[in-house]
Amino acid sequence: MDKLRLGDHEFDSRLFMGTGKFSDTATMVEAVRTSGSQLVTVALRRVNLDGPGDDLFTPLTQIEGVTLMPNTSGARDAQEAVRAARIARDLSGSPFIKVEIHPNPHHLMPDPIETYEACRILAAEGFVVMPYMPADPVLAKRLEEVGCASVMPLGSAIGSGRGMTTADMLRIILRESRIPVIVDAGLRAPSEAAAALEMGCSAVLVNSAIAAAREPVAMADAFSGAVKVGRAAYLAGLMSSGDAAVATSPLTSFLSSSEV
Amino acid sequence: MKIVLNGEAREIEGIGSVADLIRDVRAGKGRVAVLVNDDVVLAVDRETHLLTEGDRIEIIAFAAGG
Repeated sequence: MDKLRLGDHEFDSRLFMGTGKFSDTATMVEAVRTSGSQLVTVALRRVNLDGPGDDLFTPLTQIEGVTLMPNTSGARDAQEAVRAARIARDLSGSPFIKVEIHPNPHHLMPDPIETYEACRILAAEGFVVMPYMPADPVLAKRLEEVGCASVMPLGSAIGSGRGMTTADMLRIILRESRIPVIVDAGLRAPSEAAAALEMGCSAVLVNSAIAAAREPVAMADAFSGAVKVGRAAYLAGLMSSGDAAVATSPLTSFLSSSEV
Repeated sequence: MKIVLNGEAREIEGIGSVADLIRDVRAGKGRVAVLVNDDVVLAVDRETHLLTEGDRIEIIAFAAGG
């Protein structure tokens, strides 16, 4: 069976899902259930003491097979990310942590230096470290060396829906990497998720493309199918491509008029 | 006793431990993490961790995010 292994966990689904931007919790939970996702991101925040209960832990962990992957969003440097990760582990009981350090709210590009430092510390503390990172092959290798379970380079800016603008760099990362490569951020269409898996990425992490679709639950289903198709194509082995035409039928000349 | 809870000054009475505080402000609203003066107080330690005057307490939960 084709499993994705991260830390001590094995996953059948190669579609990871974020939980942000949904119109309501019920739709989000139904989208997660429909997606078949087994690794689902959540964020941390102060509770609203005067508001109603807004518990996400219970509905998400009631979905069969779901493991939570808290993120460190909001952290501006490694120190804050490490602190958020420790809080998250206490809260979730899950060793998974998505390291996400983007100090600039305008472009949300991950800080490579602080991300590296946070990953180094958290891997040593036994976390299953999953860094959101720029699509930089050198950084990917360094993150592998400090013990990250995967690298999660961005396809394009968070929530931008621009697809895999980093495809050339992703190919280099894939060629060099000995840990799973997961495209995180920027995807818009299921065909882009299929393309990522065809290319050899181990999974994709999708949030906005599902949450901001006209029908989020139906889009979760579409992404689920796309990821399976992409993975199947990768395993089948794509043919090589070139500039020259290569005939698929015999080029016999018996139809020429002189032989009739 | 005066404390600072999630950034706001509060006067609390009849609350001794971190667990008491959570029961008072968060009963039945799901799982939380607690920091007292920037240190995480694990769930197993909340009954025995007593609050003192001026403590800064943060109560944190999961929120939607990608």
